[in-house]
Order: sequence, then C-alpha cells, then structure tokens
Amino acid sequence: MNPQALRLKEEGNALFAKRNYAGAESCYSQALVIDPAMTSLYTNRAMCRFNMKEYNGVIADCDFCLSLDGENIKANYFKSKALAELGDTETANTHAQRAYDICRKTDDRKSLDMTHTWVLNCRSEWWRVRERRRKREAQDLEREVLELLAKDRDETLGSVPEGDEFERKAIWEESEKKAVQLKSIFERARKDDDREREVPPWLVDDISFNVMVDPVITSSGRSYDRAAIQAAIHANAVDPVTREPLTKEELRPNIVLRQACDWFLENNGWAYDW
Amino acid sequence: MATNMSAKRLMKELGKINNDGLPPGIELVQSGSAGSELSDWLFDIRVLDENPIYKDGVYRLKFRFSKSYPIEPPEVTFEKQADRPIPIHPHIYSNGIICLDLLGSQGWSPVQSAQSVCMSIQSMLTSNTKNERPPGDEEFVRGNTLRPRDIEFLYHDNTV
Repeated sequence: MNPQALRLKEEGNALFAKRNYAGAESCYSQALVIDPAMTSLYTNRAMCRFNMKEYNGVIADCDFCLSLDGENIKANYFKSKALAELGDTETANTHAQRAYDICRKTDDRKSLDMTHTWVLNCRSEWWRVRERRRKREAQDLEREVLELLAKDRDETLGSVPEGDEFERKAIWEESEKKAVQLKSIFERARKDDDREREVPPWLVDDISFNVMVDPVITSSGRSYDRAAIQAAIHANAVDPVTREPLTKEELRPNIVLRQACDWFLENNGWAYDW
Repeated sequence: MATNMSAKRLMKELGKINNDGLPPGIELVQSGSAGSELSDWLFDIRVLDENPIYKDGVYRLKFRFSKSYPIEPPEVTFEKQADRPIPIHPHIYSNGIICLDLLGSQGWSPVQSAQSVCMSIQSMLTSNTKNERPPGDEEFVRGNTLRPRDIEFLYHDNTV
C-alpha cells in the first residue's frame, strides 16, 4: 500500500473522529488520487458524506467500492442507509439484507448485530410503504366504483320516459342500495386491517422476544434468532435451556421455520416493531 | 446484541405482565425509573402456603437490568422497608443479597425473565424449613463491597 495514501487516510480518520467531515472527505479524496484501489477509502468517504447528508455521493462511493469488492459489508450497509434516506425503501431493503448475509458468511459478530437491526428497520419501513400504497389504492377504487354507479344510474334515468315517477323512484332506490352495500364492503375490509394483532409464539425468539429473522436450531431442538443466540453463546457457551455446552459452529439454519417467519412478516409487517 | 435489545425485551415482558397478569403472590410495584441508564423494577412477593417462617410476610424484590439484559442476568436483591423485612433464609443475607445460582453469570440463561426469577425465589422460600441466615452472615454484611453478581457463591448446598 502506498505510504502517502495511508498517511492521508489516517489524517482523514483523525478529522472524522473530531467530526470534521468535510476535512476528512478531502483527505480521503486526495488519497484516492494516489491509490484508487483502496476500498476502505471509498467507504470512509461514504461515511463522511452520509454525515453531511450528501446521499447521492454516498451511493456513488459505495457503488465504486462494490465494483472492486462486491462482498464489502460497509459499502452495502451505507448504500442501504443512503437509499433509505432518499426514500428508495425497496432497494435499501435489498442492500441491508446483502450486508447481513455477508456478515453471516464472514462470521463478523460485531457487524452482525448492527446489520441485523438495520435489516429489521428496512423491512418494517418497506412494509409501511406497501401498506400505505395498498390503502390509498383501495380508497381510489372505492371512489371510482361509486362514481361508475352514479353514472350508470343517471344514464338509466335518462332512458325513462318523462312522467314515469314510479320507475324513476325505483331506479334511485336500487342505486342507493348498491352504494350502501359497496361502502359497507370496503368498510369491512378497512376494519380487517385493525383486527387483533397476535404473533404465534413459535415464531418468537425466546431471548430477544422478537419475531425471528434468521432462525437457527440447536442440538436440543430449540430455535433462536441467530444474532441473539450468538450473543448468548459469546457470554456463556451453553444451550440456554438444557445448559449443555454449545458453540456457534453447532448452530444450523432452520429453513422451514425461516420460511414460516418470512411468510408471517410478509403478511403482518407491523410485527417488526411489535 | 443491538443496544436496544434490553429496552425492547423489557417492554415486551411488561406488556405480557399487563396482559396475562402474574402468578398468585407476585405483584409488580414499579417498572423502570425515569432518567436512569439502568432500569429498576420492584416486585412484592408473598409465600402462599402455611410455611410458618413467612406467614403473613410481604417482601420487596428489586430488579436492576443492565443494557446487556437478557444476555447478562439482572441484579436481584431484597429491599428492606418499614413493612417489608428481608426474609430469613439460609441463602439470603440480612442485607438483601440472594445466593441463587440462576442469578449468577454461569447459572443465568437468557430465556429466563423477571417473572420466572420471581417464581424461582418464591419457591425457594416456600420450600425452606430452616429459620436461619447463611453462615457468616454478619461478617459478610459488614465486609461486602462487591456487587451481587460479582460474588462467588458456593452452590454446593442443595439441602434448601
């Protein structure tokens, strides 16, 4: 590694620690002129830019870093953070998940916690976005159908001969009845959204009390969320229930349970903040 | 684990208590203390059977949760008040410190909860027949400056 680029990087880090983000950014930029292949310079600069709220700049740096090293945790993480700030919740979600998956593969315990929290955050936000969209669409649909109903009624009324008040009244009443029915159907659907929210206990991690995102199973047959059980093993290397020795190498992904959790969260996004 | 894990988990334990209630003889008096980094919960516990040692007694338990809860155990002690004595028990010192393996860092399991700890302590009192303090109580209470979880208790005594 080029010593001059390294010196500039350290200078940048020192400025960053003092929250001088503009100064740090400039050091990293100078270092990149000398050594454009040093990936940590891109992610460090992305962090400066994130603190300066220059989110497009963050994404540019992360993309460059990812073109050199697609498995870079920080680049995926900061890209996701910047995307979330810019309102692209869906892509933010994708990169959050990627950062988490890489942490798992590389066994980076410290980042695992951070990315795990961020994945939950992104998924929950993505669910909220979809919910808002769904509700808006349902409202639009209701209005549109009511308008069509009124239009149809007016057309039918137009074909009734003058003076036939009996027929006119029947058409009005028929149309009113349909509108009331329609409104009540939409109303019932809205109430469905507020129905009692309950999480099945078998999807809940017994340590964090959250719905599991990455369930793993121990030799005793019990499943925990990976981030939680790894933290517990780190403190005391035993199975939390049987007290038998347990290492993180013995944890196996519980794929079917993961599908069940995913399915549940997909349909009950409120459970992320539950 | 993420720093917000303990707060979130305590919130859920509290929600469960508010929803489902606590077993007979256990009552939540206070949950959380404002402006504190740590979180304190207070419980009142009573022994339900006719054990003469604890008849009509109500005891105040104090839980102190660190940010590492539930990975680390809570610090649980009896608190003395005018109408809340420290229960007499061969594993409970007169300053309120409880010698119970599940409260030590080796015996603790993150699947335990405030409620399950209360129940363990309640049953520890229920099954006790010895109206006495731990050996060396006076000396221990005078000399101890350690936090409860840092004390190396001897758990070989399984007779109580």
